[in-house]
Amino acid sequence: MSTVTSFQAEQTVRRRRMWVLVVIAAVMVMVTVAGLRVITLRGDLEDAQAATTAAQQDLDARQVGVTAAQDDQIKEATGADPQRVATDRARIDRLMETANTWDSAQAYTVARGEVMDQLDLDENAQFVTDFMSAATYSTDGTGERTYYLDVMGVQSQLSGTQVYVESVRADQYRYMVIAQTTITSTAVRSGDGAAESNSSSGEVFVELTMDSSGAVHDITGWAAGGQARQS
Amino acid sequence: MRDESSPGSASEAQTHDGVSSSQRPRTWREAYQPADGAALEARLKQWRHRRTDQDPQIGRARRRRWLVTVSALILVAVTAVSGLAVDHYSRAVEAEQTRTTQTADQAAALPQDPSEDRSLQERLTALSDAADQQSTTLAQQQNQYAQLLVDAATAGPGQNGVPSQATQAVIEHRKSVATTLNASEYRVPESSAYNAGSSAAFDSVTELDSRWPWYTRYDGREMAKPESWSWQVTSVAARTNQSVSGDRLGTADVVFTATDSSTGEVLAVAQAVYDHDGTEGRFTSVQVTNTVTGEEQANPQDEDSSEGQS
Repeated sequence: MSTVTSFQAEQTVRRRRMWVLVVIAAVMVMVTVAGLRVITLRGDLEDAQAATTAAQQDLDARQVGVTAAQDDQIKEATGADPQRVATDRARIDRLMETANTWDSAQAYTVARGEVMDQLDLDENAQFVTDFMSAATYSTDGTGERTYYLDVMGVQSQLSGTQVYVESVRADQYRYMVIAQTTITSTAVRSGDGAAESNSSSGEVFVELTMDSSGAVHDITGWAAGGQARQS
Repeated sequence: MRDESSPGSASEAQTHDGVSSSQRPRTWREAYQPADGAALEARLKQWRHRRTDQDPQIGRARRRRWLVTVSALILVAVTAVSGLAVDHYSRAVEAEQTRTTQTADQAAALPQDPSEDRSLQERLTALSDAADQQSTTLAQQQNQYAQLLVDAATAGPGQNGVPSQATQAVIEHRKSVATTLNASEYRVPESSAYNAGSSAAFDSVTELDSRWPWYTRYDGREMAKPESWSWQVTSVAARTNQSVSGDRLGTADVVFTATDSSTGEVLAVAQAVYDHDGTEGRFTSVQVTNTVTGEEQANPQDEDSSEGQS
C-alpha cells in the first residue's frame, strides 16, 4: 500500500515537474522568438528611418528646385526677384518699426535721429521735414522745453506694413510702403484733470528706393490726413 | 560607567539582573529587558526550532508554492514585456513606413523638371498685364472726373428739374467707371446710382462708392484745375503665393496715388484688389486715404472767412 502510494506520489511529482518544464520551455521559446522579432524590427525601424530621411532629403532637394524655378518664373513675370524683395521687406519692416514706434517726445526724437542716421538724411530731406518733422515744443521763461507730444501723451505703435514693388531698374527696387499705426493719446482733460485715453489707427505712406546693399534713397513719406474711405 | 554616574543605578542593575525576575514588573520600565547578543541568539534558535520541528512536508509545500507563484509571475512579466516590445517596434516601423510613403508622395507630386512648366510665369504675366492695363484705365477714368466735375460746377444746376448736360456727362462717366469694378461693393444701389440727385448717397468721410470720384481737389473755393493733379498707378503686385484652379488668373494688389503735377506731392492713396477669373478682371476693396496735404485741399475753403472776420 505504502509503496503504491509513494509511487503514485512520485509520478504526480514527476508529471508536475514535466509540466513546469514544458511551460518554462514554451515561455523560453516564446521569449526567444519575441527577442529575435524585436531585433529584426529594430533593424526594420532603422531601415525605415533611413528611408524617411532619404525621402525627406529628396523632397527638400526637389522643393528647392521647384522654389528656384518658381522664383525664376515670378521674376520673369513681374520683373522683381522674390528673394530680393523678401530681404528688402525685412529691412523696410525694421525701418518702419523704428520710425513709428515711440512713446514720448524724447523717444520720437531718438527714433527720428536713428532714421536719419540709417538713411543718411540731412535736415532738409522731405522725409524728415514733412513726415518726421522735429518734435514741436514751447519754451517757458526758464528755458524749459515742453513738448506737444508729451503734453498730449501721444504714443505711436506699428500694427502692420504692406510693401509693394513699384518698379525695378537694375538693382534699384522702388517700393510703396503702406504702414498701419496705432496712435494713442492720454491727454489730461483741462476741465477735471482726468486722464483721457484716445486711440486711433492711421496709415502712413512711404515711397523709397533700395539698392542690393540695402541702402535707401529717394525716400518720401506722407501721413494720412483722415480716415480711409472704404467701398 | 552608568553605575558610577547615576546614584540609583545599583537598584536598577539588580532589577535587570534577572535575580529578582520572579517579582512581577510594576511598570513598563521594569519590564524592559535590553536585547543583548545572547538573548537574540536564543530567540533565533527558538524560531529555527519552531520551523524545523514542524512537518517537513509543510515547509516544502509552502516553499514550492512560493516558488511556483514567483516563477509564474516572472514568466507572465517576461511574456508581457516581450509582447509589448514586439508591439511597440511593429507600430514604430509601420508609422515610419507611412511617413516615408507620405514624403515620397509629396516629392512625386512635385514636377520632375520644374523649369519646364512655365504655367506660373504665364499666369502671372497674364495677370500683371491685365491688372496693369485695367488699373491704367481706372486711373484715367478717375482723372476724367476732374474735368467733368469742373464742367458740371461751371454749368451749374440744370433748368426745370432737368440736369445740365455737364451733370449728365458725369453720370454717364460713372457708368463707364462701373465696368471695371465689382458690383458687390457698391454703396449706392443700382437704381439710384445714375440719377442726378444722388451725389451724397453715402457718408463721404468714411465710405466710398468706388464709381464716384476718389478725390476732389479744391483751390480755395473753386475746384482745382484738372491738370494740376492726377491719379497714377503706383504699383501692381500680383500675389505670387496663390494657388488657383481652372482658368483663373488670380489676384493682384494695386496702389494708386493722386499727386500734384508740379511738386509730386501725394494728395491721396488708393488701394484696391484686382481679381481676374479668367474671363474678366474687376477691382474690389477700393480704399482711399487722403494725406494731410490732400485732406487740406479736399474741400472748398472760404478764403475770405479768416480775413473777413478781422
